[in-house]
Amino acid sequence: MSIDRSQMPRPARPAAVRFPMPNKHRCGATRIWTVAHRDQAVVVLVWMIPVGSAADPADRAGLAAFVADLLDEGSAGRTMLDVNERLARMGAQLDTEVGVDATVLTLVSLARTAFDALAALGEIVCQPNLESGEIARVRTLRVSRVRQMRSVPGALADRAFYKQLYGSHPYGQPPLGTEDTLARIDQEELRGFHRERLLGVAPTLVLVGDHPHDALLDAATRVLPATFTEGDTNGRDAWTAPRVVDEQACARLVIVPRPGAAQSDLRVGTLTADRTTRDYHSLIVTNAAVGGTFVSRLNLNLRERRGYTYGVRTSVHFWRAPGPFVVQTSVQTDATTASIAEILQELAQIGGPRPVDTRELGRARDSLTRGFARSFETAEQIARAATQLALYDLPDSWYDDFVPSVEAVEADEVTRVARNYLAPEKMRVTVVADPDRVGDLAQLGLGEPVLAPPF
Amino acid sequence: MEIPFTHHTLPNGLDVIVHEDHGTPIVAVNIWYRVGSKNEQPGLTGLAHLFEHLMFEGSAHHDDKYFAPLQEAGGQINGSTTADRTNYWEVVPTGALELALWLESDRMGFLLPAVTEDKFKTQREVVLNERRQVYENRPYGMASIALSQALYPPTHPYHWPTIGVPADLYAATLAEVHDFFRRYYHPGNASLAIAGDVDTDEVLRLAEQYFGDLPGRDLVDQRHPPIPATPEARVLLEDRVELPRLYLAWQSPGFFAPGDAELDLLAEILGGGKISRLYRGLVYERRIAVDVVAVQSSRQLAGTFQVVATAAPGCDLAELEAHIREEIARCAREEPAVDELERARTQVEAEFTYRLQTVGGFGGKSDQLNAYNTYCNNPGYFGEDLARYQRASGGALRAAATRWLDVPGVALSVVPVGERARALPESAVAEVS
Repeated sequence: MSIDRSQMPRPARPAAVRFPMPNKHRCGATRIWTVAHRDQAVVVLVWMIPVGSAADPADRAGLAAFVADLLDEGSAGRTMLDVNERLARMGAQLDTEVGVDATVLTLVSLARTAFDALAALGEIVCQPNLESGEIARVRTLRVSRVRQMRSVPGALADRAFYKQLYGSHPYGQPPLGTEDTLARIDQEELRGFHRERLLGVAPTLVLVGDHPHDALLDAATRVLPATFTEGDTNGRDAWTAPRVVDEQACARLVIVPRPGAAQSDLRVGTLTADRTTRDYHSLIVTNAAVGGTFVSRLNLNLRERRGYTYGVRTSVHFWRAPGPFVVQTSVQTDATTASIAEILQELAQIGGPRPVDTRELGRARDSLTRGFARSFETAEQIARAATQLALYDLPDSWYDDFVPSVEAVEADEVTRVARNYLAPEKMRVTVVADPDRVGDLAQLGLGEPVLAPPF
Repeated sequence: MEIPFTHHTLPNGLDVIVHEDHGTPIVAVNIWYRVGSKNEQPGLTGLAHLFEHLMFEGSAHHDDKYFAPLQEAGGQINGSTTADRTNYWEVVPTGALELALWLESDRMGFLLPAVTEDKFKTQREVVLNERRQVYENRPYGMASIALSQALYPPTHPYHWPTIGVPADLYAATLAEVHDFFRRYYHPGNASLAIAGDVDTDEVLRLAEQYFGDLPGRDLVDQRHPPIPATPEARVLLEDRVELPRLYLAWQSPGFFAPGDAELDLLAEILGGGKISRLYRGLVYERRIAVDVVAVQSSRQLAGTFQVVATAAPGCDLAELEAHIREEIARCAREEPAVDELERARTQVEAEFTYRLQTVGGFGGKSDQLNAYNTYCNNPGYFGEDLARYQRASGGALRAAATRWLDVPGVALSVVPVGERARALPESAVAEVS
């Protein structure tokens, strides 16, 4: 039986998908959320503390990440080997992630060992040894990592770009720290940060799996330290980034020299809005159209039309304070100037002369809404989604409102937010490249390129 | 561990495998073609991977980007090329299954009219930029290419890089690209796995409808050169790196061959995480390295066992080498402790479980069904695969170490530019193309 190839099948409209709402409990100020999931083999445990790298003091960049790194290096009197041996015997996998606004520990475990895994996680978070021997060893490893980042072009680009965008605001600090700050951070500071910040602010525990809620809840309650039986989650405001970011008076165009580089790494971007903005959905639709998808304007231009790059992607980060919109790509060296010019041109076009057409708008919205079901397939995806609700105090209806909110974004909204947030004259540009082979960057009209300080 | 499935082969040779999972209203469509860079010829490398790019650029009845209709349908879409195979997948809402099948069958049956000189040239530039981004401009990025070239003789299909040699990509003609498609892209050389919120009978009917009339040809002869003996070589690369890194590599068994699971477990014991013997010895106790891993990467024709360690500041690679070789020798001398082996088995089992949480994507259930079908002629090899690890005894681990790792192998030093003296003594500059 053959088929009609003159016409592509039209997909049916996907059925609406409901986010599996967590069962919410409180234990003092701590939130414990459990979510039932059909997967019988796996339980995912998330311990989220709303304190991240933005809590680093100005002269102690890297402190939050240093402390987080030390958590599984020995706890409750056990050595690093004992702690990790315990996890490995259960087949549990620990991931510690320090973002600007939060420290998130995720433990993926087999269902049969979930309760032991939770107990192990509790010890790791609440009772790290933070002993001087461990600190010295981990410090050396972290300093080496900072040094290794000097030869990673993407890391050089990010570091210079965030500094350029945020200046002295905490989001402008390198989350890894510097050789200098890592050398200065002492045991007292590490212990103080752990005591006052990681344990001083009530966490949220998100537990996803097939286990009964009561059993999970009971197990979670047992691993929580007494500190959190009283207290107020709002204490965290003292430690988090200022919500206002001062406009930086720094250069529009920064170059990080990488002589002999095989490509140029680019960041082009600006500040947008914080996590509570009413423009959230308009911004993500605009992002999808301009650079957030494969068939976006930027990727079709730089990759598919010109072959300058393996790919270009844009993203918008919504944080507690305004996050960035950023264009990220690596382009062939002789196309560096041309690529930046094209990027600025596309950003200008979408905010004015060439607004999104119906097809493009539909495609951008559909790419966000129609695949929504995919976001909640695994226990880990559900745990991460729930963690976002907790971190930014989003309403319960957030995910269920997502699809209609995106569908309500019209073309004039896209034009408005593009013009408002993404105008080329707001863009800052970071280039990591061979300075002798990039051509005449000054012709971009962004002023003379300024050399980034070495790192 | 069982993943229930139905397997049906169409008269044109296409394998169709269906697995139902009604947990989420999505479906994964996953196709493997039994072609990778191992099917290329020296001087004409990079074609299999370049092809993967061209497969997204349009076919006769949809001569436009493949991403567009699938993204509009809420799908996720990707592909990848290895030495052994090329795969393509979509994860779409259930209602878009037919769209995915229409597109996959169109590019399987009707690609060439849409592969023009223009597209070929643009995608060649994209691929060369991919090579710059992923290999040339990335610290230690050329190491894998140098190792393959040192481990395999120039005539062996694992000698050249899957991404291709730039001169070969420039030399390739459109006619050669078309020939490559005709030879390898047809139902008889492919395996289609569909996993998700579907009805098996309905999927089999649709597969027949969309793919049934595509002409099938015989399975392309696969070459099976014997695993070459591990050569003894010391080579070096200068790179823009801060810290010298040592790679030790040996030939090892290919997929599912005797010794493969044993070496996997040995890799876990030696270099799988913070409690492994090498991490403990090099990073935790002696502090002469900042990281170390061991890995058995098996492929269809042969495998490679590798230990990779980065020197701590001020430490030298010879010291790392001595310690690693001592640990390897110990593996050939003594069986691992019972609880060490038990722990490694648990970790392998857990990784299996975690991988199979999703129907689609790289490594998800649909991809795994196709992998087993392609390499073992049995999509349902899950249980057997896992059983290999459960059966592996301490004695078998020791025997595998003796059989495969008891020779010096290839040692590659990657050192900062201008600091060749920091490589292992008597290393020659590596051949890298």
